[in-house]
Amino acid sequence: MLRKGQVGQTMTWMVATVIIIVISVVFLVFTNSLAAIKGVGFKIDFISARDSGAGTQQMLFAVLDEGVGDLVKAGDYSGVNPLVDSILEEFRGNGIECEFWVYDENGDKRNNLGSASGGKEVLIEIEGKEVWLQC
Amino acid sequence: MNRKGDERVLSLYWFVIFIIIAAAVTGGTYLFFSHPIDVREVEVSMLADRVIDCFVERGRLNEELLGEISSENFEERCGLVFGDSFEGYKGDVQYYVEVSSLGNVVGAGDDRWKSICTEEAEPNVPTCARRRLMVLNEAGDFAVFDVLSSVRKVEQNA
Repeated sequence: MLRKGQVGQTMTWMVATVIIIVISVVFLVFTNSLAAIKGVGFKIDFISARDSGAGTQQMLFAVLDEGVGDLVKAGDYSGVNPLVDSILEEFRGNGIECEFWVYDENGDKRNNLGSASGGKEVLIEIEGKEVWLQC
Repeated sequence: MNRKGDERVLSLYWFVIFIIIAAAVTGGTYLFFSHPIDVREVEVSMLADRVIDCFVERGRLNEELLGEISSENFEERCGLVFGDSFEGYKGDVQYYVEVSSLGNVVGAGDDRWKSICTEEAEPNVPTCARRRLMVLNEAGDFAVFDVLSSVRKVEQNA
C-alpha cells in the first residue's frame, strides 16, 4: 500500500520526468533549427567569400596599364584625375560602379574618384604608393 | 518501511532519466553535425575566379585563348574538372561556366540549369555567380568580359 508521502514523492518524480523530456525536446528542436542555418564554422562572411576581388584586381591592373600607373609613379596626382575619371565613366557605361583612390608615400589620400556601392577593395603598391580600387 | 525497495526504484528512475538525457544529447549532436553545409556560393565564386584567371592576365584579355577555346577543350585549357566524383553523381557534370567578350560566347559543362540558378544558395536550386569586368584587349582598349559560373549539386545540399 502506498502511503500519502509516497504518493507525493511519485508525483514529484513524474513532474520532474516530464520537465526533463520537455527540455530534451526543446533542445532537439533548437539544435535542428540551428543546424539548418549554420555556415562554415559560423564565422565565414559569405558576402566577402562571394567576391574574392579577383575581377577587381584584374581591372586595377588594366587601369594602371592605361597610363595611370606611370602618373602615380611620377607623383602626378593632378594628371591622374581626368584619366581615371574617363575610365570610370566608361566602366559606369557598362554597368560597373567603381571607386578609385591613392595613398601617397606619406599616407595621405589622393584622387578619390567615383563611387562603389559594395564589392571587395583591392590594392596594388607602386613605389611606396598604394593604389586602391573597389567595384 | 521498505527503504531498500524505495532506493531500488529511485536508482531505476535515475537510470531512465540518464538514458533520456543521453539520448537527447546524442540526438542533438547527430542532428547538428549530419546537416549538410551549403558552400556552393563560395564554390561558384572560386570557379568564376579560376575562369577570370584563365582568360585575363594582369588586366589583359587573352584573345588568342578566347578564339581557340570551345566547350570541348575548356576544361583542359583552363585546368578545370567539371565531373563530380561524389558517390551519388558518379562523375556526372555538376558545373557550368560561360564566358562572353568581344562578341564571343563560350560555354562548357551542363547548361540545363543556367536559366534557373540563383546567386544565393537555396535548397533544390543550382547556385550561380555572375561577374562583369572591364579588361584591356590587344589593341589596348577596354572591353567587357562577362563570366557566369554555376554549380548544381542539389541532392548534396537538399
